[in-house]
Amino acid sequence: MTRREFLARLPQRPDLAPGPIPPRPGGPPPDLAAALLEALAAGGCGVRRASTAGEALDAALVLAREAGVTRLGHHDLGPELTPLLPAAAKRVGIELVEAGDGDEQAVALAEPLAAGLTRPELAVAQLGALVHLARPGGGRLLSLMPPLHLALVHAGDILWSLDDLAARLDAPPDPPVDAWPALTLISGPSKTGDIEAVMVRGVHGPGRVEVVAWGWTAPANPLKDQALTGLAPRGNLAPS
Amino acid sequence: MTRLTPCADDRQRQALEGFTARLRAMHAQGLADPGLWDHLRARARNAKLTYLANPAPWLDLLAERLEGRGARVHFAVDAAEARDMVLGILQQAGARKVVKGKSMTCEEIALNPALEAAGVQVSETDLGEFIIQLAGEPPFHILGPAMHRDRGQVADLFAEKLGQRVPAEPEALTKLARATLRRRFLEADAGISGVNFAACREGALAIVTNEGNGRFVTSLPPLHIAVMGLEKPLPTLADLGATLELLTRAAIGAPLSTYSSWLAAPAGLSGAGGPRQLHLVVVDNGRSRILGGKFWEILLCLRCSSCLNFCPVYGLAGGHAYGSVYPGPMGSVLSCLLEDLAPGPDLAQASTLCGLCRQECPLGIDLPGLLLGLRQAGTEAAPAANLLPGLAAQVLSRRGLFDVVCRLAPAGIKVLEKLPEALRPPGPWREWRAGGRALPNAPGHPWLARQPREDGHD
Repeated sequence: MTRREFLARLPQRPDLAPGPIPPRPGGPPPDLAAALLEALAAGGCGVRRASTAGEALDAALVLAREAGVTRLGHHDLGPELTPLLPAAAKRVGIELVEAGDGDEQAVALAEPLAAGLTRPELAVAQLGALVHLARPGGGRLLSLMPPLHLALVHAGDILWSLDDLAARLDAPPDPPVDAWPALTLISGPSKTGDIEAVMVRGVHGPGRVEVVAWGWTAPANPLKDQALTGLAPRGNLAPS
Repeated sequence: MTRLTPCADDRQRQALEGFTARLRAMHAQGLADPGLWDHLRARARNAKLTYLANPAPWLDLLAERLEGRGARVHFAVDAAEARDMVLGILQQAGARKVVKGKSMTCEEIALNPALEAAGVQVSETDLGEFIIQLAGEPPFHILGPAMHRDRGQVADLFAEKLGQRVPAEPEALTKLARATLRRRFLEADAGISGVNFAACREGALAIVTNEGNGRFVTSLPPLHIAVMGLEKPLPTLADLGATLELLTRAAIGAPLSTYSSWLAAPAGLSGAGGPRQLHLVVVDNGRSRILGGKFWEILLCLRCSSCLNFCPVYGLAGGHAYGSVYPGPMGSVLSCLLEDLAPGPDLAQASTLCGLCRQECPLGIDLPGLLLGLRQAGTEAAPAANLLPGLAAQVLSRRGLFDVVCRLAPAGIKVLEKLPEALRPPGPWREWRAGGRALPNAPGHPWLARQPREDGHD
C-alpha cells in the first residue's frame, strides 16, 4: 500500500486530549561528573576520576594491562588524548590497533581484540549513560565488540538529562542530513537473565565497562550548549 | 476457541512464580520515587495521546524525515503484506542470512516461518528468543521468552542443536550462545529488528536491549529492516526519551536499559560504519480499526510486561496457555482485537478483574474495563450465548411460569439425566455433565410452595 493510501485510512481521535504534567522532582547537581559516575556505578560500570588527559589515559591503560590486555583497540580520541596515546601505551607494554567506525577493516580488526578504548561524544549524568554518535572514526564498534570497554569521558561533555540530549540533537525546524545518523546510549555492561533469571554479563556486548571521567579543572566545553548541526566528522568535540 | 488452562507443569509454574516475583520487585524499585513516576507517566501518556489523536500527519513527517536521509519507509495494511514487504526487500538485496532482534510485532505477523519457507536463514539473537527458536516454541513471557526452560533443558537443547555440550550453568550456556551468535552477526546479510519508539519531528527510531544484540542487528549487517506497529511513534525526541525512561523503570526498575540505539539514517551512507540500507516497515494489522473504536486505549501499551507479572491468572496459566503471541491481560485484549474476535471471546474471560493490571500499568490503561467491554462485545456477537440467561429472565420474572417450571423440574431433570450422551443438548451443561457431575434430584414439593404466602394465605 502506498503511503498516501495508508495515511488516508487512519482515523482521527480529537477526543484524546493530553492532561497536565506534574514537574519532575530534582534538578542538576553542581558536579555533573560526580553524578554521572555514581549513576554509572549503580548500572554496573567501574568508575574513576582523573584530572588531566594524560592521567585519564594512564588510568585506562593500567586497567587494560591488569586485565591481561596485550592489544588495545582505539578510535579517534580527539586532539587532547590522541597525541599522548602512543607513549602511554608503550609505558605499559600494550600494542595499539586503530579501528574507528567506518574503516573498512574495522570489524575484522575489532573482533579479536580483548578491549576497546573509546571517547564517548556525550554523556547523560541523570541516568548514567555514555553516548556514542555514529561518525567516521567514531567508537561505536569498539564500545560493542571486545569483552572489555574502557571509556574516557570529558567533564565538559556531560549533559544532565535525556531532555538535554534531545535538545542538543534537535535543530528545528529541519534537522540536516547526517548531523547524527545514529547514536548509542550505554548504561552498563551487556547482561541477560534469560536462563533461570540468573544475571550473566557479557552476553553479546562487553561484560565489563570501565569509565574514567577527566577534565575536572578544564573549562566547560563550548560546544556543550550548541546543537550538533555543525558537527564535523573528526576532532571537533574538544573543549577549548 | 482458545481455552485458558492452568500450567500443568509444576516446575514451570514455580519458575514462573520466581521470575514474575523478581520482576514485580524490580517494578516496585522503578516507581520508588512517586513524583518521578507521576511525571514520566503523564509525559508518556500525553505523548501517546498527541500522536494517536491524529496519527497521519505525524507518521507522514516521520517517513519524510527518514526518507530525506536515505532510508525507505513501507506501509503494510496487514500481516501478509508486511511479510511480503520484508521478504521482497531481502530478495532484492540478495540477502540469505538474517540476524534478528526480539520483536513482538514480528511474532505477531509470523515473519520467521515466511522467511524460512522462502529459503532465508533467520537467527534470533536475544538469548531467550534464540533458545525458543531452537526449541521451536512460542515465547512464554514478553521479557523472558524462555523463562520456562531450566538450565538442564537449555544444555540438552544446545547439545542437540548446536552440536556442543557445555556444563549446564547459565554462564557457560551464555558463552556458547555468544560465540555461536557472534559468528552469525559477522556473516549476516541483513538485520531485522522491531522498534520500541519513534520520534516523528526529528525522524528517529529507538531500539532498546540489555544484551547488545539489538546493537549488532542494527549496526553490523549492510542492510537493516525495522518492523514497527503503527502505534509506536511519538511526536518528539524528548517524548521518546521520557517514554523510554518510563518503559525501563516499569519493566526492569532501572533508570535506563543497558543499550538504546537511536537511528535517524543509514549510518553507512555517511561513512560512519553500519548499514547502507535502512528500511522501516510500518504495520497496521488491525490497529487503525482499534484506534477508531472504543478499545483504542490498548494502543498505549509499551509492552513492559507489568500486567503479566501482577496478573493472578497469568501467574497460574503461563504464557503458552494464551495460544496467542501476546499473553497476559494486555495480550488478552490485543489478541482479541487484532484477530477481530475470530478466536472467540474466551481470552476476555481470562481475568478475575482484580484490577492489579490497571494499577501497575505505567500508562494506566484500564485493562479490566477493556476486558469487560470485550466480554460484552463477544456476547452481543454471539446471540446463542444470550439464550439461556434470556430464558431464565423470562421465567424468574413471571410467578406463574416459575411455579409451572418448578413443578415440572423433577421430571425434567430425570429425563435429562437419563439421556444417552449423544442426545444431550450442546452447551455448557453437556461439558459440566461430562466432568462426571450429575444434577441433584429436585424435591417433589418446591421450597416456595412449602412457605406461607406473605399475604397470610396458602
